[in-house]
Amino acid sequence: MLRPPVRGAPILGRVPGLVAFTAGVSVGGLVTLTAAHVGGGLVSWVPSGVREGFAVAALLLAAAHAAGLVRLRLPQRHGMIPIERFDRRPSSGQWLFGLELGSGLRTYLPAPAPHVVASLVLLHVVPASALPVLAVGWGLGRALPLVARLGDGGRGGWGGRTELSARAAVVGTWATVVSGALILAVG
Amino acid sequence: MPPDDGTAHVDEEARAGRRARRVVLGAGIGLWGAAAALGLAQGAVVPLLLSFSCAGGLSVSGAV
Repeated sequence: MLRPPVRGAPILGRVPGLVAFTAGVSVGGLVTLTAAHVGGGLVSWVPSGVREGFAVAALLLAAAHAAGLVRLRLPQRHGMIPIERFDRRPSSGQWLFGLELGSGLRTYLPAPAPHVVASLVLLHVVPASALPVLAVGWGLGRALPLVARLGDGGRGGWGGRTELSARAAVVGTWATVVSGALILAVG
Repeated sequence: MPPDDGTAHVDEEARAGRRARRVVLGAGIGLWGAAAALGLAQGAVVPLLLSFSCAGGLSVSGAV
């Protein structure tokens, strides 16, 4: 079970820390999504039908990975966010931790779901106006286990009574694939 | 009246710091809520589901 390195005040069980973490994740995600959207502008000359074809291919690959049919080598950083982030004041430590976690560039990504989201943004299947709401959803989702542990601050850590299941990553990937397909279908 | 040993000044600074943090926190929550409300008003419910399910799956699986 992975536990983030926590010194001093626990990361869980406190509303200000939760808010700081969620805001950090949202902002970190928004930065990466915006960069992907701007980078995707370089291929905006590609006809929309072709870009949607690539998006469908990304969804199918993610679905095959979730179904266990293929095993993708996903681009990700093989390492955890350094312990020093928590040497600061609790709220700024949680904010910084959230910012780095939310960027998606600083830690493990064991499921292809974030790559699907990035692909849809990169291919301009998701419009720029939806990026803030994507970032908010990303922040809320990342804070989910922390919300479940509100009021349990004395215990600290991410473990304890919460059973963290590898199956959740697969369910999340399927939900992401279905949502992505809905976006493509609605256009 | 007790002699001023400097703690009053420190308390005042701490209060000001807490006030500033509350203002920043409030502004952050406000902006964050405004972004969500704006997106949802534009019908961006599916994008919200997309990123929420993606991040939720990762988080509950324990990926940090």
